[in-house]
Amino acid sequence: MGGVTLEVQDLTKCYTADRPVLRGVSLRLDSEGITIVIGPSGAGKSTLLRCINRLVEPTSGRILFQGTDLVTLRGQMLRERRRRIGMVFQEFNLVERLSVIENLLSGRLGYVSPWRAWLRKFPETDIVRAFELLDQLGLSEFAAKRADALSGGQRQRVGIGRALMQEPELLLADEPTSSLDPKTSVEIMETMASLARQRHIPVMVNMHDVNLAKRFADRIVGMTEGRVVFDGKADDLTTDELSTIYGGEEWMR
Amino acid sequence: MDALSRRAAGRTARPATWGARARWLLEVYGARLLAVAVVGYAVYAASTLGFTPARFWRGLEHGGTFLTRLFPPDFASRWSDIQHDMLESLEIAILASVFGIAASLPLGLLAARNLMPAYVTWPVRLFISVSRSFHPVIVGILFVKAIGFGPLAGVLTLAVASVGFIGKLFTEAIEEISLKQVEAVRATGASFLNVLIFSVLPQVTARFVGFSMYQLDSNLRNSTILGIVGAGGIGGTLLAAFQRFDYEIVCAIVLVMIGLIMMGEILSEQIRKLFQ
Amino acid sequence: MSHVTKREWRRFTPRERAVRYGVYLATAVAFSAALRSIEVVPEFLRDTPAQVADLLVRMWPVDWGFLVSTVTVAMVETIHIATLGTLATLLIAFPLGVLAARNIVASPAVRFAAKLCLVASRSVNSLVWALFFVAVFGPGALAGTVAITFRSIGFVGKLLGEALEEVAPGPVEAIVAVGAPWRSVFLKGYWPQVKPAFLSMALLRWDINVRESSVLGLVGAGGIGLVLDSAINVFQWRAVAAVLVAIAIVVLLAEVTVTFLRKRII
Repeated sequence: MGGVTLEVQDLTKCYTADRPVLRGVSLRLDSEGITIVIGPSGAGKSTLLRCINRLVEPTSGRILFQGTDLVTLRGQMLRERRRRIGMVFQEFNLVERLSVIENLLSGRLGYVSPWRAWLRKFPETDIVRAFELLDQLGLSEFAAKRADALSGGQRQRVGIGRALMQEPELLLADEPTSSLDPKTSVEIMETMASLARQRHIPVMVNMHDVNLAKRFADRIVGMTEGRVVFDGKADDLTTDELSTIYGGEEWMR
Repeated sequence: MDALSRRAAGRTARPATWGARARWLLEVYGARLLAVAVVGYAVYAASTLGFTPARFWRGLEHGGTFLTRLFPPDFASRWSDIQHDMLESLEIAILASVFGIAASLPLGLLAARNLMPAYVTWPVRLFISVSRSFHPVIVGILFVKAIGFGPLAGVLTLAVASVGFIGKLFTEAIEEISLKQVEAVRATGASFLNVLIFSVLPQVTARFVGFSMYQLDSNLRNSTILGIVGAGGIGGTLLAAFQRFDYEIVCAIVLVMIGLIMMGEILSEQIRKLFQ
Repeated sequence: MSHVTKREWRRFTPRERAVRYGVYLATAVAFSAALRSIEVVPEFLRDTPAQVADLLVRMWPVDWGFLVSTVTVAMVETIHIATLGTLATLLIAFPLGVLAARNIVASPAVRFAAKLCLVASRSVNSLVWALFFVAVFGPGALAGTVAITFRSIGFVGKLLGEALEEVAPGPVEAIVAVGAPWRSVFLKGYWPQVKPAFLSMALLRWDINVRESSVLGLVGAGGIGLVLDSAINVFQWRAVAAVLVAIAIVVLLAEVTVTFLRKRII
């Protein structure tokens, strides 16, 4: 439905004083759909995503998530907002020594006390939901297996599951397919897309595979050198636009 | 390089400059030089310490007679003392280990530079460092002088030693973890403690148990000798027996000590395997 | 109302859980039993922080003159004891370790005997060995050195035996297959594979022995322990502090040396 989930206003990030990685990026994300951010390495795509859930601290700008400016939050308030934003990582970032089901349940850590987390006493509804998700992800037989016993594609599916266990209102994915082979990449994007659409969760992904992006995106955002240089539908992405984003045409042939 | 190829290399390439020649010499003759140096040192040190072959042989003779005086081991005459003091050593080891292990967990976490800010890690690391600088016997003497004879000194000594040992290794283990896993759990909005419990601890628990069991074994060994300096346990009984020249009782005590330590070794191995 | 099948997830199998609880329970029982039966006067416990602080105050300032005059000589003697002891250990632990290895020695009796020696060696604390050898050789550094040797044999020998048993059979078989004499089989087949572990263990044991040697003097076996004992007995706390400083410095230097040598040699 209508209503803006996320609005980034004039976001800037400098790691060192003279080299800004993000130069005044502004974006609006509406309630649903898959937005894919593309651009060359160093364009700031990953930084942009990580500023949204404040894994990276922005230097200036505002990030309005459902009305609240995330940049001003700290402590308990920040964690409460973070709970509502799920993230999928390039290298899956599962806790390798824990089982698949524990990794899924870790998505609910924002809601349980340390004592319950230690004893693994999650609410019954969480456990039921975890098993349902496992079914949907096709990983039911792996529930008790250690995370490092899984293949890359399977691990990423668990990563998606963990993010979805948070019941988020926004899903971020930082190069979720860059560590996977082409076939698995497509499977993962399909899984993420269908599950997110089912739950009406807007998704923001960054990747560098343009063809994959065109295949799955409802909207494409092109970035270069810390700036947004394209923002529109996949079909509107012409070769001219691509060369603006990436520079040069050789790689497109 | 083995001898043959080394000689071949030497024959074909004789370097020109002094520095290079020295290095070449070292490489070709290194092992032999080392052997000569070691033997040279041994002779020098032995003479400094006053070891003469005569003294050594005399000692061996004396050792022979000494051995006969050890047997048969006398378990009977002072059995109640031995039993009581052995139990006290065991108690010291258990209490010190429980306190030490329990304290090492939070202290090890607080000393980890990838988790805590500098003003927290510095004092904790200093404390851990000092705790492991001295042999438990020395720490034992100091505690005895400070708070008096008895098992309390023993428990405190070994608890401090445990924190020093486990704490340092545990902190090193924590500083080697993958922070990616930590980042992901943070991103779910988990509290600091939950992040620790679900992404830091799973990576280090097995090693923590390993260190703890090693320290339990070490505490058991040390608890038997702390009595020598008055910190409680069988060590005092042993020393008294030596000073009375009651060598058969000495033998009995040492055999009991060996038995206890061997059991401790087996137990700690089993527990370590369990918590893998 | 729709019926949701409850799916069970248990972190540990029932057997695992039983065993874990068993261990926790046993620990709790041992702990409380020890607590109850240990003879500790509660007043002493409460007094502890104050008493410790009092002792520390008496150690300040450190008696540097004492350090230079008496401590340095004794400290050098301590290092000699540790080093000679470790060298002697290597000589004896080497054959014993070889004899204890399953893949080198066929006779179980020989292996058992070797293993027995190794276990006995390390089950007796170096301080207890020192008591023995002071009775045999008389007080002095000889007793201390032999004590260090006897204690360390078990440590190095056990680790050597284990390293030998984990050697990859391939290279060894290759050398045996060409009919090489046993000396070569060992030197070219086994030794290259265990050399790094052996040297590492030797260095580690030397490091530990430096610390152990510093207390042997307490029972008369030479080294800085004697100086420490005398200073404590006459309550010269500032001199005691000097000894502690010296020990701390030497232990630190030993650790640095070991780290340095480890990188270069292994």
